[in-house]
Amino acid sequence: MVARTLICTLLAASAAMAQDVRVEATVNAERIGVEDVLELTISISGGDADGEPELPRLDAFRVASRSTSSQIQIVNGRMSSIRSYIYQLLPQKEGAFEIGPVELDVGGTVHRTSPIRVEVVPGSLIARRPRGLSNPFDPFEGLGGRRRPEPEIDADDVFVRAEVSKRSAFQGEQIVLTYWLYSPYVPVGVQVDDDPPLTGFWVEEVAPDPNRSGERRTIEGKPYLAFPVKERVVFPTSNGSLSIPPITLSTAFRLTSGDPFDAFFARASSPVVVRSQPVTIVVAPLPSSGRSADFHGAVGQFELQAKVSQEEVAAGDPVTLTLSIAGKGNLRSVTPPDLPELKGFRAFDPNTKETARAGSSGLEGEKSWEYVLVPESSGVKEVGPWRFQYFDPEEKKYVTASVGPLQMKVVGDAIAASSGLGGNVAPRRDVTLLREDIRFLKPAPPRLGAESRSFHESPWFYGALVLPIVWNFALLLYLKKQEKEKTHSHLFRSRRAHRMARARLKKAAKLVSEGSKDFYDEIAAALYRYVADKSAASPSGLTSSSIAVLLAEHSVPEELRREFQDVLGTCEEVRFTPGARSREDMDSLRRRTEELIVAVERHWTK
Amino acid sequence: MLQAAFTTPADAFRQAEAIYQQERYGEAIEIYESIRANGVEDGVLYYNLGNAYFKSGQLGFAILSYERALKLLPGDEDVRANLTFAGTLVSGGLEPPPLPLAIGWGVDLYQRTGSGLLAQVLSLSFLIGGSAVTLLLLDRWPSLRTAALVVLAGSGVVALLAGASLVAKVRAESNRIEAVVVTENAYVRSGPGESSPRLAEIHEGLKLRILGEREGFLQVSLANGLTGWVPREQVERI
Repeated sequence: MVARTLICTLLAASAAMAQDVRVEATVNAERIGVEDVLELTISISGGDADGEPELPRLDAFRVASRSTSSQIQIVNGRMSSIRSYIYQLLPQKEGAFEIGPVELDVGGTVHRTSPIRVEVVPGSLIARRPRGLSNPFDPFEGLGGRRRPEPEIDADDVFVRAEVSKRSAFQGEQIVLTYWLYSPYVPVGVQVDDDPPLTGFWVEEVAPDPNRSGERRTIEGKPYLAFPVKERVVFPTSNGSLSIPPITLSTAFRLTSGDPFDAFFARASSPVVVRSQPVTIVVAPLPSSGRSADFHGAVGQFELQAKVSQEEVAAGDPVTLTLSIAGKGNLRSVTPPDLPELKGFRAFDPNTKETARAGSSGLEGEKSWEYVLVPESSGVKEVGPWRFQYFDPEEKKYVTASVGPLQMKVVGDAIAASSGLGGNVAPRRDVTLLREDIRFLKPAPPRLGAESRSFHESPWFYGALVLPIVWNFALLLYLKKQEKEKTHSHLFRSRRAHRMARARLKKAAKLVSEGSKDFYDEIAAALYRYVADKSAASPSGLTSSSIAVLLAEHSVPEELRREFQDVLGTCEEVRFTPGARSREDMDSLRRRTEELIVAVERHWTK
Repeated sequence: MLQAAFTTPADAFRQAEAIYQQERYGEAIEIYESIRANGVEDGVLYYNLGNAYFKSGQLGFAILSYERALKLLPGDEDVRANLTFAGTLVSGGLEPPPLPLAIGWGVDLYQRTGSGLLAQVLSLSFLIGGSAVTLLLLDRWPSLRTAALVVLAGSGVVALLAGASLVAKVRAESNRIEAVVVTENAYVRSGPGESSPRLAEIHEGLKLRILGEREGFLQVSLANGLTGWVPREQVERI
């Protein structure tokens, strides 16, 4: 990048300088083996490309890597720059192919390289001679005089091999695939350039072990250092003949000499590209005999376990049932054993945990399912049993593992608690509802069954209903009677008036024989009472004049009225004059009065 | 048998409560039931019995007991709360169609008012109305005439409402037209007989209205209006 900016600046400075722009494409060999690597270099001199070169579609090659380099030359006071794009191409098939032309835009002009013909033959042809490359971090390199002898790297001694734990397997059986880099030297900076997908396999990458070192191996009598570059556990997902495609690596090697100084300043060789051979694995389908409904595709060696978090639990409180399958094999695709119907429990969806790790011995670990069960009623409950069938590829047969049933003692009651569970993940607040329950028992009432006889059944109720009616009716009757009596008494009195008057006169006759003056009072009273009774008036309010008016009102003739006044006048006179009266006088007055009353009675009209 | 051990109901209640606290609900039920077997009809007794049934997981009998308690203690908040709570656990419980607010209040008031209170209100309104009539009859104080008329009209309306509610309540209580499902499941059939097609499956604790009875089957209607027949032994009258 720095170089590139520098070029730009320099180019800008020498814009006037007319330079010849040249674009060239070259390959390291025009005839290579299918296992070799073709290096394509596109170099631009005398100008800066606008963007990267565009490679044409290459059907026969895959681009494994790409790198660039820049050079600036000043020859005879003229500066020129060369920029190179280097591609590592991996042949995909054998035959004769044409690369290019490659188009490149330099300074607004499109330059086109001439096509290159490359022939790919079976095997490998190129003796991969390393180009000597200096260690850029060696501070002594530029000092001169200290040039170390470069040991030769023989590319034929470097190769990568894909090694599998078995070449024939059952579908779903795990195979450990390890890529070993063999060389006499210690590799540094191993890079995987090309790693085509493994079709027909489920792949589990094994995490690289930084502590793993190389092994010394002897192949065909030659000693090698073997390094595991990459390790995977693969599971064939289909049957038949499956191919593991080759992998391409590029690596440099640590160059050591006898010089102890090199222990500190070891130099790296130039990179070497190596490619593995394809490996074929024959995959057999799983046998159908011995397979039951409990088989869900597990292949390997497994163990089934089941446990509950508590053996004794209060109804309504959650219990965790853990089913786990541990072992070696295709754990990732293992499904939980069918949960039998749990009567008396509410079950929630399981929480799946997986602790499987791919290692050099294959995929190993445990997969577990945690079911939260809420017992709904008390008693001793059974859960399970569970069955899990897997195919053991070593034994070449199906194995059924079973566990349970587990027993659980549920105490207490249930319904109350069951709904308390809904709030088990309550956010923080002032009141956290733990569970809902019914309200507690009540103490005995002072009188049991007191309210069972409702007020409407008591006599008080009927009394209260009847009472107002009765009293109002009685009041009504009383008022009616009073009214009646009022009118009644007038008739009564007027009817009685004559009789009463006669009674008084009789009493007066008695007084005559005694010669008492009270006789006159009695006569007057008889008359007054008579008129009062007749006219329904009060006797006390009557005077002689008001009597005259009353008599006139009731159509008593004139002479009788005068006679009335006369008799009353006589009585008054006697009251205020001293001296005795003769019996004859008294008797005559009595008779007169008697006749008068009879006459008035006859004439009196209502 | 158990009854013999207790001298007073308060004793029996205390004993039952202690047993209940120890979660021996079955025994608590026995004590309460033995008190009831002596012919005691008590709201608190039914309430406690309902609690014991509830805790022992017999939802149907729990609801039945709470309903019976509510009849005797219609205004009791505890009974109401427990009945509501138990009702939420009835699977497939039916909500009756919602009523307009004012009517809803009226129905609620009707449900919360017991026949005893209704009778008291009725008799009180009679006494007040009767006094108003007396005032009017005596006709002594002309200034009180209007007031007396207003009081008479008001007490008349109250008496009418209370009287009608009381009659309805007493009739419903004496007919015992409500029932609760006491078996875990029951089927509502289209006719009285096991061969009649099933219309619905109902669950323990569901409240029904009894419309009629025939050949060991009760004709019932559900809160949602569905009408059908259920075997008599699967429900218990409230």
